[in-house]
Amino acid sequence: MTWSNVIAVSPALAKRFSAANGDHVEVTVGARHVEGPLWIMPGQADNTVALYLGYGRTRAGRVGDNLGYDAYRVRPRAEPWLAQGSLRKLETREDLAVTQLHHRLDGFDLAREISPGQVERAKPEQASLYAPWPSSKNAWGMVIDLDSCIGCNACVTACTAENNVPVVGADQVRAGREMHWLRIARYYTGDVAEPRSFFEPVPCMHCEDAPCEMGCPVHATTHSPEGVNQMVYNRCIGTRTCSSYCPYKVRRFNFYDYRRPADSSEHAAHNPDVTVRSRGVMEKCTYCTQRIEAAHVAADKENRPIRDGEVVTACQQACPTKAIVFGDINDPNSEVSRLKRDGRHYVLLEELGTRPRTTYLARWRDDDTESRSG
Amino acid sequence: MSEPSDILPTRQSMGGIAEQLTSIPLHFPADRRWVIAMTVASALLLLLMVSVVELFTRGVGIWGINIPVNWAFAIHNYVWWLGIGHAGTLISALLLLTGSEWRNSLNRFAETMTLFAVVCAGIYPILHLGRPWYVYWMFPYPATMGVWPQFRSPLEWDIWAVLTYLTVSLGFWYTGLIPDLAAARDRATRCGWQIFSASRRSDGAGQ
Repeated sequence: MTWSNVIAVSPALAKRFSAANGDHVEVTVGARHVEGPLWIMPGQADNTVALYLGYGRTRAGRVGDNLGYDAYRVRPRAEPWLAQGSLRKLETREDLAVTQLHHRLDGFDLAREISPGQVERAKPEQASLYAPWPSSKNAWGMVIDLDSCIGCNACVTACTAENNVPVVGADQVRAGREMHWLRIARYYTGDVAEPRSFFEPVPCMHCEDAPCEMGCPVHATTHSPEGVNQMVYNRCIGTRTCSSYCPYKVRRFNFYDYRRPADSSEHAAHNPDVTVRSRGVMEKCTYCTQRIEAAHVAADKENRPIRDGEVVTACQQACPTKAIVFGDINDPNSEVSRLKRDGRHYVLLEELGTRPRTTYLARWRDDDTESRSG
Repeated sequence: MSEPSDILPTRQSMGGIAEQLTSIPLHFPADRRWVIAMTVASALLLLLMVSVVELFTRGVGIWGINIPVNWAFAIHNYVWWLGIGHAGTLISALLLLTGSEWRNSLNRFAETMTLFAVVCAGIYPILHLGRPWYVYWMFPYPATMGVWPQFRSPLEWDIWAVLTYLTVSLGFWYTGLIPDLAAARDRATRCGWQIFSASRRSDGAGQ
């Protein structure tokens, strides 16, 4: 959800009101009421309505004004978190600027759960016709622990700030052109009234056998010796083949010139170590290559190898639960190498044979009944 | 030159047909209708020009594409025009294979249609680019950057495929055009047509 907050209701309640996502509803608590867009939240308790605070501001500047509704208008002082109220569906509706349209896992194992009995110590690596990636001094890799991830989106915010990712506005998000280099994919399985829900951060996988590199006609996306899938902005002519070939759909394209004017405050706030991309150029997660290079420079100046934990990507730095771990997989003692040997470790879309460097740790299944039967 | 032939209407001879054909460029059979049709076509072409200028100045975002659907009409139209081109090639090939003697009139029309359809298709790999002014990077030339195109990419193969198709269609078209060029050469006052018709004979035995 971008550029707005919502009034969340359970699927059953939405059905009772014959309401769909985006329909305007009015919530009345006591003498006061507020109107906002409806959102169907799988798993929310029936007969409850969730109101989200923090939006509806009127003096927040150009970007913050008039977004969503102000939930403080109906928040009672005596009981700030729980109140009795009523819901009424209105005639109008709006198109919400959401980045994910499909939430059902549909039997795919994109976001995995694992119970203690299912943990395997050693899994055979999938056979491939392609030669393994030649070794280098440092080989960068990343592990994301789905058990620790709370879906807070701090990694997305940090990445956007670190890498000068443009803000495209609600209209462009509605068109499907959000530029966030990583997304928090939210999936549901099971019954819509009582689903299991998953958060999965998906940045660029930096595949060793990257389909994007094969598709680019001008060598605009290449592979560094250290395993980082590089995006060469200056060479990109914008055929968008790489995005078409990417099975993870983590690449973002500058459909318009999303840059701010050179004399604006946003431009001054840009990270000077990162190129600002122009119109017609593809961009994606770079494993914070500017930070990797800074670590190389520091290590070379002191004539030593890069230490584990010296390179911290922006997403890793911001994560409050330390769900993202980045490091050198050539070093068997690095934290990322240890996690890649973990029994919960799995590869997203492994059957495609892309051999990504960004992998996941499955979530622990915390429901006792399921682990007994599963 | 004036003996009748099996495939022509008995009233006409070869020379008469040649006379009719070569007079078309000089005197349009229907002046006003042609002007009206040309005006309409030019207006549509002008619309294309305006659209292309808008596309190049504002960006490929004026189309309704996004991630993941990032090609949509660009690739549809590309394949559409190539399909129309293939129709012309198919007609020519079928007529040749079935040995139809009356194929020549249709062959000319089919091959011309193919050529222009391939040209129409060929503009889409340029139009759909995010930075179309760098389209020449997809062609192999010794660049000062020291980078060549990435030949494993199917988009790179597209360039070669369309170029081959264009060249071969041009060859077919030209081959069918030779007799008419010869007829024009017979009636031309300047020597330019001799080059196109690939012969200097002027005895008029065109077919």
